[in-house]
Amino acid sequence: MKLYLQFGWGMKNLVLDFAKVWNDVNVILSPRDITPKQLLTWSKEFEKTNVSCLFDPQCYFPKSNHKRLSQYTYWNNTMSTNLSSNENYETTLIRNIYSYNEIVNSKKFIIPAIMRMYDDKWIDRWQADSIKLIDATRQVVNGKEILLTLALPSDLLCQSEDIIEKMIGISEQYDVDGYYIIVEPPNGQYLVDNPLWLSNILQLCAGLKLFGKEVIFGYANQQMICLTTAKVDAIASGTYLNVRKFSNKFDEPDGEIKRKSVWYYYPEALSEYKLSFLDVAYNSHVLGEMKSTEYSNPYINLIFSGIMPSSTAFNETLAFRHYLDALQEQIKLCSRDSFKDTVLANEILLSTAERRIEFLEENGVYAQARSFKDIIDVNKSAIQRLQNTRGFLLEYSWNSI
Amino acid sequence: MITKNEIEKVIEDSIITEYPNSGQKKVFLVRDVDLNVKIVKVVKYGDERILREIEIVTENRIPNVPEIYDVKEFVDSSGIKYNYIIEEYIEGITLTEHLKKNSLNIVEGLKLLDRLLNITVVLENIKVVHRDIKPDNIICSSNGDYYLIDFGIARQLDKSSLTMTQALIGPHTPGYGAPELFQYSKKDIDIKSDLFSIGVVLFEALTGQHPFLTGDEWDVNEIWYRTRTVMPKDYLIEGDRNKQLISFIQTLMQRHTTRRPATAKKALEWLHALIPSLGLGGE
Repeated sequence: MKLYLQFGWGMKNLVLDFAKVWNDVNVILSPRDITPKQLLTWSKEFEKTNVSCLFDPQCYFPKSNHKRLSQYTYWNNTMSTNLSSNENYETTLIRNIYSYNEIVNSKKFIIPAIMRMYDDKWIDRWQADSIKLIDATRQVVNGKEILLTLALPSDLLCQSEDIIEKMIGISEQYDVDGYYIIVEPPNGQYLVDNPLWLSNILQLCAGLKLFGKEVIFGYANQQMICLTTAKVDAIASGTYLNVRKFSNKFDEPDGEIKRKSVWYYYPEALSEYKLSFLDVAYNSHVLGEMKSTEYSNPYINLIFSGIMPSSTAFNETLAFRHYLDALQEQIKLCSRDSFKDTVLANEILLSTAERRIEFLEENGVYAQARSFKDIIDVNKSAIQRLQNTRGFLLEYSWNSI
Repeated sequence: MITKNEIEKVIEDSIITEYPNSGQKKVFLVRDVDLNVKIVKVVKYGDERILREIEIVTENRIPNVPEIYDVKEFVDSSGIKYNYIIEEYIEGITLTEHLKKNSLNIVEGLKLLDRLLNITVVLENIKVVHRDIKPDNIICSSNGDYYLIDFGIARQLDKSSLTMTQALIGPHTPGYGAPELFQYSKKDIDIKSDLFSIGVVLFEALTGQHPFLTGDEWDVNEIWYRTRTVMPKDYLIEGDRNKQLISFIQTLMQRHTTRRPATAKKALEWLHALIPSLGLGGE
C-alpha cells in the first residue's frame, strides 16, 4: 500500500518538499483548495518535480456554494437534480472534469459521486448514478485508468454486512479499473470507535481487490493503516483533520481551519500529543521514550533537543511533515508479502500502541481526543472479521491482487 | 405408474434390484444379456428436466459422472409414454451410507474435494450448475473413487429457466443448497452455488457433523434460517496443518457469493496449492 497526499489548504510547498525526499509522490488535488488558475500553474510545478496528480472533482455536495469549487466549469449547484433526470448532463459533466484532468496530466480519471444520505433506496440511487456516469466516462475519457468514486455515508457503513456484500457484487460488474473510496465517519469522529463501520470498510476494500480492482482510499489517517490487510493500493492523507477524515462541511471558509494546538504524532502509540503534554513527558523524564526509533525523521529533532518541547520552534508545519513521513513508513512496514504476515505486522503495531499508550498514561502523558486507546480493539476486531470471512481468499490471492 | 414387470419386459434385461423412488423416476439396477450391470431410469416421456440432464451428461465429457449409454422410449399398457435411460453403474455406496459408518479421513476428503472441484470446473465451462450436490448424490465407489450423480435439477445458465419466473424458492435440497438458491436470487446463481454445497458436503464428510444443522430443526424454514445465520465451528481435522483445509472449506460455504472463490477453476487451483503444504505425501 502506498501513501498518497490528499491535497488540502496550504499543502503546495509540502508536496514540493516531499517530492525531494520521497521517491514516488502522488497527490490527489482538491478544487476546494485550489482555484482553476492555481491548478494550471501548480500542476506544472508538480509535473516538473515528478509528482503524479489525480483530480478529485469533489462533487460530494452538489448544492454547496463553495467559493473555489464554484469557479470550476463543471460546477453546477443543480447537479443533484440533473444527475437523476437529464441524460446528456453526465456527458457534459465528465467532459468538463476531463479538461481539468488534462491540465494536471492525470493518469487516472476519478468519476465523481454524490455523498447521498443513507435510506432504503440508497443502493438503487447509487447504482443509477454510477451506471450513467460510467457510461458517460467511457464515451469521453481515453487513455486513462478509470476510478469510480464510492462516497459512503456513515449510516450505510453501520448497517449489516449484507448491504456491503451487495455493493461488492454490483461493483464487480462495473466497467471501471478501480475505485476511489470516500467514507463519512460517524458523528464526525477523527478516530472512529465503531467496529462495524471499520469492518464494513475492510470487507468492501478486500472484496473489490479480490475482483482485481484498484482501490484508493481517500481522506485517511493512521486508523486506516489496517487497510494493508485488504491489500488496498493506496490511502491518501494530509495535514489538517479535514483531509485526514472526510467532512461534510464543504462550505467552510478558510478561516475555519483552527490552529489551536500543535500535535506531535507518536507513531508507536498511533496517537498524537499536544506540546503541553510533551512538556509533562519532559518533566517526568519519559520524553525520550516518545522519540520514535523505527519512524525517525529530522522534522522532530527540535522536540528532542533537550529543552522543554513547548519552548522550541516545533510548529504545525514540522508536525504535519513528521505525521505524513511517519505514516508512510508505518504503511511500508505493514505492507508484507503475504496476508498472514501483513495481519501479524498490524497486530504488532496495535499491541505496541496499546503498551505505549498505557506506559505514557502511567506517567501522566495523555493524548486526549487523539488517543488511539479506544480504537485498538476496533481495528483488531475488523481485522479478525476479515480473517474469518476472506482470510483464505486473501492469503491465496495475495500475489495476484 | 408402470410396474416392475412391464419394465423388465420392455428393457429385455433382468432387474437385480429396484431403488427407492426418487422424485418422478423409477431407478433399477439391471443385468443385460452379456451380464453387464447397468442402471436404468424410467421417467415420463418428454420431461424437460430429464431431457436437460441427458443433454448435459451426453454432450459433455464430465469426469467422475456416470456415463449415459442410451435413451429409449416406450408406451405402457395404458398408453402412457415413457423414456428409459441406460446409465453406467458405479459399484459402491452413497456418501450418506458411508458417513453412517465412518467419516472421511483427510486423504479421502482431499480426494473427494478434488473430484468435485474437477467436475465443477467442467460445469463452469459449459455454464451448468448442478444445484443438488449432497451426500445422497455422491457415490463412493468400491475402488475408492467418488462420483457425482443426478443432474435432475441442474440449471443451464445460457438457457431459459425451467422454474417459474415468479417462484420464490429455487430447486435445491435444504441444508445443502446455497442461500441464493432458496432465496432464489436467479442472477446470483452460478457455479459458486455448487461450491457452497461442496463446502457443506466436505465439512460433514470430514467432521461427521453438518456445519449448520443439528438434526432437530423444526421445519424447512429453520433449516434455511440456520444456513443463512450459523457460523460453522472452527473444527480441527487431523492432518490439517495450520487449519488450511478447514479454512478453505469454510471459504467455499460462505453465505455471501462475494466471499467464495470467484470461479471453480480458482478454487481447484487453490486446492492444488494447498495440498502440498499439508505435507501428507501422495495424492
